[in-house]
Amino acid sequence: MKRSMILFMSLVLFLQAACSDRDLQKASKSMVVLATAVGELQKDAIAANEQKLLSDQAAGEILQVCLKINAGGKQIDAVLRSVRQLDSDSRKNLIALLSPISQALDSRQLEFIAGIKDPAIKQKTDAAFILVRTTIASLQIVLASSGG
Amino acid sequence: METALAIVNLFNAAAPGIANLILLIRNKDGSITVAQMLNQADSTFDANIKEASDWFKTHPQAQQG
Repeated sequence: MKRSMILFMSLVLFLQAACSDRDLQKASKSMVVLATAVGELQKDAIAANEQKLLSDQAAGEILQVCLKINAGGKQIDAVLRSVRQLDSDSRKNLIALLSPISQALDSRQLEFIAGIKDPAIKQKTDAAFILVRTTIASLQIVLASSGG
Repeated sequence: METALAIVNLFNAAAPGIANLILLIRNKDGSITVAQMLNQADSTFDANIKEASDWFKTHPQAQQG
């Protein structure tokens, strides 16, 4: 009886440990989307620069913003990796880590986009930043929710 | 000593396979899926950082503070 109880409890603990909450999964998905979106944005900026469709200055500005997002993304990734569930403390911690990324994506920081001369590159860059912003916003919504 | 080394080598050889097996077993419960997604995101961030840093090395005039 005692042995079966221990086995049952071990099974419950194992299953509990193996399960991660849905918000953690959503946040992890957002991180994959964010990393991929930033990667595509960088590749497009570098390709446009190589084709002389984007100045070194503009490409540099885009890549600087991307570096900030990548660095912040790695920090968020590390926090998500260290938790099994998104409790209120980890949510607060993650929201704080999102703050510099949001600042880097502030419209005032992206004013240089208006100066991109090639209309197609300008539109593409704008759209790429919108995707990145949307991903950050979705991550903020997940983190601000009560969980479940 | 030789036996110990043989065991270590055997374990080293088997470890990746065991790790994959554990991944396959635990994939259905979602927890490893999260780990896999975070690994993917992390390696993509690393690749992105390297790509941007390499570009700045060849375009030092575009570097900002």
